[in-house]
Amino acid sequence: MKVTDLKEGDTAVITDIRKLVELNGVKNRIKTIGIAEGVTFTVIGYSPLKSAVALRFDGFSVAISVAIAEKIGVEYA
Amino acid sequence: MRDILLVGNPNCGKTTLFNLLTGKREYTGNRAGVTVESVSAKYKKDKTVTVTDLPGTYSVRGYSPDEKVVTEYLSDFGGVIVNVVDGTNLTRNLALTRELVALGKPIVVAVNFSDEMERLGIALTEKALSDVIGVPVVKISARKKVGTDRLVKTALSLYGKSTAGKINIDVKAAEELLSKIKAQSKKGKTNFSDRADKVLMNAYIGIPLFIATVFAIYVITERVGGFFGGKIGELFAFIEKAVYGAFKVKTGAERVFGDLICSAVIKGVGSVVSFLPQITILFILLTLMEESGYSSRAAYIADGFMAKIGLNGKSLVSFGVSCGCAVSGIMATRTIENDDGRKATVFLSPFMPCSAKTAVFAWFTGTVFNGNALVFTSIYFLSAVSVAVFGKVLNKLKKNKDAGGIIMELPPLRLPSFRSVINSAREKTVEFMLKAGSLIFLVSVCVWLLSNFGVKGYTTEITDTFLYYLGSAVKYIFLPLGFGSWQASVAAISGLFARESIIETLVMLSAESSPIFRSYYSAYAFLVFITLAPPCISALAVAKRELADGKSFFKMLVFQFSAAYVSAFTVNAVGYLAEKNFALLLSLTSLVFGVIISVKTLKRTRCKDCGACGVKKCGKREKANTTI
Repeated sequence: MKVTDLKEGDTAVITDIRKLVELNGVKNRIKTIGIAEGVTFTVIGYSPLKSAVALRFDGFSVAISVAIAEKIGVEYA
Repeated sequence: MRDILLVGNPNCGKTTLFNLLTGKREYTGNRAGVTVESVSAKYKKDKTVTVTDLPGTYSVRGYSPDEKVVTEYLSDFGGVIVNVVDGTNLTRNLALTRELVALGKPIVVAVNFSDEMERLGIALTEKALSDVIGVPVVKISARKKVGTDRLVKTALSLYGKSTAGKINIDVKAAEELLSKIKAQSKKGKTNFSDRADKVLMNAYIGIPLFIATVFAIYVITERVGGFFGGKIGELFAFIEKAVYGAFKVKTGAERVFGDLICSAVIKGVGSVVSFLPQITILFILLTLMEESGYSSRAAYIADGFMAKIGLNGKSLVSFGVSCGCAVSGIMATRTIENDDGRKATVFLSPFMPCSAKTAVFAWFTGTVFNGNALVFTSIYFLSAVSVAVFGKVLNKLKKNKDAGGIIMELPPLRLPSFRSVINSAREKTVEFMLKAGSLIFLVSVCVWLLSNFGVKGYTTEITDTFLYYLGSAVKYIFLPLGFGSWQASVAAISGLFARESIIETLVMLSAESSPIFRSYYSAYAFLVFITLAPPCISALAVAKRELADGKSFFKMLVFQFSAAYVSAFTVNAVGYLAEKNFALLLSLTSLVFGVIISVKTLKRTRCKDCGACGVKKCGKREKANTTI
């Protein structure tokens, strides 16, 4: 399951970010911002035109593009 | 000389701490990317100590240009690092701390927001954290001015003491401590932010709310600022009349000097100063948007629309900041990681109506268009449309169309600090006035000299002056745009130095001779031209630096000048046709729309080579349309 399969309000755990290497330089950037395997989050919602998704983690919130969210594997918490 | 370096995640209070330690008033804001380059100043209590504020970063290995500033600074820094962390969000902030400690340089951790930690019930002691991470820790509240003297004293005590190879962070103990802290913290702080985000970031409510916010900023700026601006204008007119009366009776050089004071200084500078209230109010409102954290949410809402022109939502932040000043807007592009997206944003940011252009629009609306507010509104709308249209053009010309996905932190919504908003607005307004005061004064005097002196010396015949010769030579460039008068040409050139100087140039020249604009649409074409033309000298200098290579800078100049020329030409042509032959205009417009719709329809029904039929580019139309 990917982040983009989740709906607003869903809570999930990140299980796999290996596919992010397909996007140049994104994997390290994502990790340094605090998004890593094993971290739990809640989907705040999708932007108009569904180009980005906002996620709430423990203590911070982040908006990432759908192209990046599609590469992040998750499972329901 | 001893050096202290402030390093930390975005939004952890570094700049607030820097302002407190040095007495400076650098701009703070509730979003990543407020500080985009290093800023240094002396510690106000000990001038032998230099404090440097760096852009926020999540890692010592920077990705965006502003983060790379940090990487470069750290590589050969010989002083003490003060790692500022957000005490209410330690888990994430300490990731950078680990990397900084590993560098082996003297370091002290400043746990900021100690006041908020207390409110949230986070009972972290300095010793507990220090035992776990192995470096000194000092709790501070930069906002409340607590603990900062002790922080500097601790930092200076570490000077020259390398920690290379001596510190191993006890990761397990750190995780246990952080879990304990997490259990202690109340949810209160994020509740308001979370509830507000349900509305602000809602896909359906977010857009109308954003449009309403922008409209409110415009209405307040115009109504309130315009009222006070009118009063200042009346004051300057009174002063000019009094001074003119005093010099009227003089002769010779005294009379000429009096004319210089009235025409160049009082009238020229006064016409710009009268916009001070509007500019100040605009800065206050833009700062409020940033300080509250709303501007990041606006960027998120706009991301999809920005993607249509090959950009991401972060570009909206630059565009928004450019409404204050193009210089700041261009510098804000440093937070955009994707190189092509950043360059495109630098190209497009100057299209936004900055405070100087706003002053010109307001003057035109009042003086040339008899107060027709539609002119002012339409130019703002045109700026936004130009960004979209020319952004699309740029995107089509790009080799790599990938805008790079948005990765943006959404800071918690906070009540803006009154002092910070006022300080920021005051700094920007003073900067505007100093620039307007000095540059405009210089341009005013130059224009006066050129318009009163010719080959034979001082003259009252405008057609004998240097200005007339200059304008007459240059006017042919602007003839196809409808404002090929020598006065408009001179005003357009003076606008390259500072847009505000257009007002005082036109004010000085309008009294001299024939009408500057032969029609309303040619005056509007002039407005369109100066909106989209390459920005003022200051913004050009910053753009050149940000684009790094001369080729890109030259491309930017050509792109902006072409956009301005084509747009102004179109406006003038449409206006001319509407006046002379409305039927022809309607026919041409129908033809253009017809062609556009036909092309789009044909494109939609062309084979997309999906391979469904098993043949490459079979030419068959899609199922929804006629099958060949």
